[in-house]
Amino acid sequence: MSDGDEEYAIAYKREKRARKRAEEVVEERNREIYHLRQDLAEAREHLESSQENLLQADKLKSMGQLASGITHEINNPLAYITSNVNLLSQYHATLTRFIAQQRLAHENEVDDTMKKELALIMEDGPEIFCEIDEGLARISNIVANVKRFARKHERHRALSDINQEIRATLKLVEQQLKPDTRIRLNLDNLPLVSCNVSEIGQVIINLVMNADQASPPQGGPITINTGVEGRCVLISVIDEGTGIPEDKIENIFDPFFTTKPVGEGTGLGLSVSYAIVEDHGGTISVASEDGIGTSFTIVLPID
Amino acid sequence: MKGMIFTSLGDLVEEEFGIGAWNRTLARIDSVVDGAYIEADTYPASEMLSLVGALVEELQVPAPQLLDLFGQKLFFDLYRLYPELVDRHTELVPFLASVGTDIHEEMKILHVDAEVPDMRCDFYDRNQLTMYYDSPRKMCLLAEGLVRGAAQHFDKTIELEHSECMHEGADRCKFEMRLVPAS
Repeated sequence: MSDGDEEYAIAYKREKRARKRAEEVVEERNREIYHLRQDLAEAREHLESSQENLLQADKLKSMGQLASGITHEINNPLAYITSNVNLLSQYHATLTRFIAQQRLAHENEVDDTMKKELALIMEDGPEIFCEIDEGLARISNIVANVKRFARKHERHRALSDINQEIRATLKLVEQQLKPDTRIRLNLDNLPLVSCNVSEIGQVIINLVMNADQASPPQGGPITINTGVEGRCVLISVIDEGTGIPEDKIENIFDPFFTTKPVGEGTGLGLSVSYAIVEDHGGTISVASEDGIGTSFTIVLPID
Repeated sequence: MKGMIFTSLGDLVEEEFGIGAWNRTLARIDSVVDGAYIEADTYPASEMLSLVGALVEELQVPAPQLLDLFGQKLFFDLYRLYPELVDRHTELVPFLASVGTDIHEEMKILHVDAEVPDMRCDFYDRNQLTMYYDSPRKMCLLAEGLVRGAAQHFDKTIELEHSECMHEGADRCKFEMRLVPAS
């Protein structure tokens, strides 16, 4: 081999080593880019989710203000309607007694048509007043729930054992659940959380009843998990029911939004739950797959 | 120090003095990669200093002349890699004034491990500038070559005075540059 060949051979070997190293570097960079893309995708997902939550919170805040105004306006006429209906009911009872007495005294002076009409009024009257009472009670209940959605409640907060509250709440609702509904509890050890146990209990009831209603006609499994993540307590209620259609999921926390048949729900349960959790400085989120089931997750701050 | 500075030097020596000269130069130093440099890697700055020293001995060329030549070539190699950093400027002086600020900042974003010298200007107009060079590697002569390479790229003739130098005890090097009007 000539001196020139020898020089080229040395350079060739050096370039070959350099090429090999360059290929390794390309591979390393590809891996870095892959991980960066994953991180970026996660960050984007998180950002989108945060944005959705912010929009949702903003929307519900506006609805809360609107609801507060409407309930105030409804409450006044509702109060005098209720009062007047009670008075009218008493007047009706008095008139009914009077008519009964007069009918006995003037039996022959009243024609048959009038007799029939009076009999109908005397018979239907109490039923009509009963239905009006029921209707007014429902309106009153709805107004109370809307007020609860609209207002901030910070009273009666105490350090509480969320697991204990969940067990106590389940005792209250188990009789109302479908016959084959079984609740599985996976409760981790939790620190005490400053909360209003009655309000948190109401949220649990709402979620469990919703889960049961979404389950098959005879019932199905409902899982309640609790755990700790960072400085927060997590509570999730998971069913294996019908799931929430994708086009409905963004509205489920809206007041009066319901997927249940007319008359079976006011559509306030989840909005009240949302407001309660938000009042506690926490968040409530939902994940659902049509036909697979739904999972609600509550995150409550420990401090 | 970024690998492309090593590959650029290797290319220069191979092109101007032959493969044998580069082989013998590498044989004179204790290279961490046996001279198999690649642009994407980073190597110790001390290895560059060893290489320059070995080249001066091997080629019997004065260091200032070698570094000036290398600096000019390095500018064109950098331009090949990052043309957008240069092409956003249409004039030499504003380009040079942006090296120590915008361009080095962007290099640090592109290469987080890049160790760039401090090259700031305290005065410039369209025809002249005063630039200060400060780096623990004291490669001011290379920087001078880079400035000349940039002048070639912008098709300008310059007068460059290296009025203060770290190699002569100054805290930093001072370059005073003037454009020579086209005759």
